[in-house]
Amino acid sequence: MKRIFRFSIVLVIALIGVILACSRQKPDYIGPAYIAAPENFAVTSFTSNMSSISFIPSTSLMYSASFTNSVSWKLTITGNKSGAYHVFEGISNGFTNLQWWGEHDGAFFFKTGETVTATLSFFGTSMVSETTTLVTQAADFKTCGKFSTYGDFENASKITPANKWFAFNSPTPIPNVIQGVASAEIDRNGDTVKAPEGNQYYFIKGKGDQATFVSGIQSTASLSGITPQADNVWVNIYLYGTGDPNAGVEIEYQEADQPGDGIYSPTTDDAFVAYVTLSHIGWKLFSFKYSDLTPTLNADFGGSGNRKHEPNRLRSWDIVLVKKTDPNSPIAVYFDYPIITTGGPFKPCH
Amino acid sequence: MLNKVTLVLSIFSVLLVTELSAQNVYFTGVGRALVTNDRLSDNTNKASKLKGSGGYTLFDLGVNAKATDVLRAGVILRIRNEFGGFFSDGASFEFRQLQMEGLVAKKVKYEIGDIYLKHTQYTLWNSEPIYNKYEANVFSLRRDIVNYENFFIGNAWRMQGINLKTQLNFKKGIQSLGIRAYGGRTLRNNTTTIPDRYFYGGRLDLTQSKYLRIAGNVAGISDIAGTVSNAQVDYHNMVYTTDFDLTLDNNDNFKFVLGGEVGASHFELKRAIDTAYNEFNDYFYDLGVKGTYKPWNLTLGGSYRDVGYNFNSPMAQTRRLAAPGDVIPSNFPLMNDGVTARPIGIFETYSQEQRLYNQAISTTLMSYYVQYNMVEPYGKATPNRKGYTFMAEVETPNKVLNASIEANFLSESVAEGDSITFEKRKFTLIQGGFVFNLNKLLNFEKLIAINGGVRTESSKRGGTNLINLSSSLIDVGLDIEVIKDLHLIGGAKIFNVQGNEVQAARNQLNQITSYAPLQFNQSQTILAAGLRYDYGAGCYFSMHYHSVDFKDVQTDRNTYKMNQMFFVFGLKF
Repeated sequence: MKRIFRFSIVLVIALIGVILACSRQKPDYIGPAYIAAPENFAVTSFTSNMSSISFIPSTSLMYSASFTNSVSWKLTITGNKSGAYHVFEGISNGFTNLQWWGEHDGAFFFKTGETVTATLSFFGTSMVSETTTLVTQAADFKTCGKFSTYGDFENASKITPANKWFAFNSPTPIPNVIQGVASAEIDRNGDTVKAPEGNQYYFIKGKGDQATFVSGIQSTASLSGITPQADNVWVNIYLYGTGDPNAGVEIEYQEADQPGDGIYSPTTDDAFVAYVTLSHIGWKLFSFKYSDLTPTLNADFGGSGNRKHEPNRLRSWDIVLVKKTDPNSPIAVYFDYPIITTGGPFKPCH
Repeated sequence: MLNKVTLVLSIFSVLLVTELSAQNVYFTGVGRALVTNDRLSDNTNKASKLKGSGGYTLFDLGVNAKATDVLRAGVILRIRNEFGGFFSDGASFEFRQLQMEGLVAKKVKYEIGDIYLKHTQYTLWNSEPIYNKYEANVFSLRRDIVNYENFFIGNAWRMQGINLKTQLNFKKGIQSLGIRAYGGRTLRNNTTTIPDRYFYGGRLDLTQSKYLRIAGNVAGISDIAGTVSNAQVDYHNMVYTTDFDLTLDNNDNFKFVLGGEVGASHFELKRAIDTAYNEFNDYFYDLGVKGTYKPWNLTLGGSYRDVGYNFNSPMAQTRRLAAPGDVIPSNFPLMNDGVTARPIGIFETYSQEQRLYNQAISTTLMSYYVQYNMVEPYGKATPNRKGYTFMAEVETPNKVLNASIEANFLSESVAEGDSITFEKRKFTLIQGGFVFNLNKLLNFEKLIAINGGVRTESSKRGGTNLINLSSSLIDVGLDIEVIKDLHLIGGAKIFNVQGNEVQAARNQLNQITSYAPLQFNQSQTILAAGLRYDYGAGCYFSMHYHSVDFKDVQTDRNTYKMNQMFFVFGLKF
């Protein structure tokens, strides 16, 4: 027994010896470098070159600042009405003519007529510097991709079949559904829904008269000129969620596969679908690479084409509101600013 | 719906046939009716409180058929009706669990289907995110519900797969050899770009004598090439470890154990977007000694660990608490007239059943609430940590008192983000508590238990980028059985956090890509009191009042007060 015990001790000591002999090559630090502001840190100047700006035609607002030390800084531009923001970051003792073209980072766009506050903040201190500017005309990003005409929903009277927007109408009207353009709908949580871009958006609410399907709307505005490379095309739309796992949308992108006819025929062509459950809270940009969209399984509605992702053959798209878990519970979708981009998801450009 | 019904009928048919042939079918069940009524006041609505109510009734019926020792099949079917639903309006039906288990050749135990897996703290482990070992029963009653709803049992992860284990006993040389293997799927392919992802692992556990036990472990996750046509990633991670115990127990008074675990990880990821081959290797070791003085049931211990900054072990490092971006409070998700997202507090950690906890293995280090887990956000396997841990625990023989304390003094192995002075953070984590069964001291039949616990954490760094954050969480509780089976229960949780930290964001390769500065000056006080009546085996009714005071001096708009009346009727058989 003693021999076993001694053997065990020797084995364990040998194991520990091997472990302690290990050493890893360590860098001096990991992650990106940053520098916090020291105690005597101060901002010596912080200015913008204009007190008001129109971003149309494309113009930039320029910010300049200088500090006593080289530190990690963050410049956050915030819209006082829209809640939109845009952030610049860097490590330096200042910057000169930093250009802002009116773009935003989150879901909300800057609005015409609002004051924006540029706040300069730093790692390691609560010190901030601010300057304000009036936006007389917000930037327009519709040319950053193939935008569905009138898809900002700012003019409700344009959302009609005459302008290639077709609210679903079978039967007419669809029972237990309301849909249209709005600016201040109240969601299921009692919160007012404000538009992410401009002042208005489109909404569909209700429980319809079927177990899953509620209603939808189709846009057939021209989508010509899109590249055929499906892995270089993104479809984008802003969707508002209320945290309701019962609420879902199916966004269908419809192609004209049959040579010559040039239109989407549900029984002979392709439709590719993005499925979204609206279980998030608030507005969010949803972007899908076109090649990742799933072919619809419905043979009578886009499931009978050549099954090839061909964005250059896109002719129309629609958004369909569906109940995911509970056929008896009403649901809602609010959406805005549908746009198809190339090279990556929608990003404000200039 | 039709498919579900068909499936249910099929399973019932199989079970019925099994029942007829084996005459060995038994049922288990968990039922619960729960109602809450809430009030919230925030900075905008100090006078007029926001109101809300919710609840549900559910029943989990477990149907188990045991043919022989070779096979036991079990299914748990759930029917749930939301509060306010009537005649199935709002009712849902689902499978909660499907499992088969048994014994092959009277030697190899197997489980297939929904299984609970735990391995070692560095290979496969589900760490508790918030210290709650000594919290009051008024809180733990609710935490038990949350854990049940999220499939948390101890430190195991609920997974879908297979688990096999056996033990071979020997007459000479070695005492026994335990063999275990498991595997399953963590991620299902999306038919186009995301491939199937599988986990697997195993353990060889050799008990040489009463002095020495040594085991070898592997745990891995791999993408299966070819399961999709256009895979965007090809991921593989392997962890190899050895754990051992050297025990000296030849004395009536003392027992000593020298033990630990040592291992390494290998991470590789190929991505279509950059065609780069990314590979990271690192290792860890955790060695310690424990001594027990048997007459007092007192154990003292100490250990040292070093976990490399690139040590990757997804099944041990995945967080039980979901990443902050995925969390939404069930009650009052927005406040201040819908403008402010209500911050998650300690109250939600023991009361929110959905959209707070995570049940899926994450191959990247998840974002976390720094204020609640600054020292070991990814459990013992948290990368870039080294230092000492000391512990003590005692339990009096008559069980009047049991208490424990653990102190961790850790630091980073490599500085994060400090490119000038290369200063490393130093961490302190001290946690402990006690349960005092006063009735045993007084020789009183009915329960009178007092418990208390405390956890303090700090993270400090000097040099160019100063960090100084500290937090404390205090628990006190009382459980008095006033008349037979009727308990008066009460408790408090007091949480404070103050100072500054930075939170690292990581990419798909687990490498840090940016830091966000954080500043805290926050306190949370939760007071709760109520009654619990035990009807008999597994049946109880309980009602509580919880008062939550969330003060955020740093960000005043986050301040709120919330009160909740809570009623629950539960049964289990």
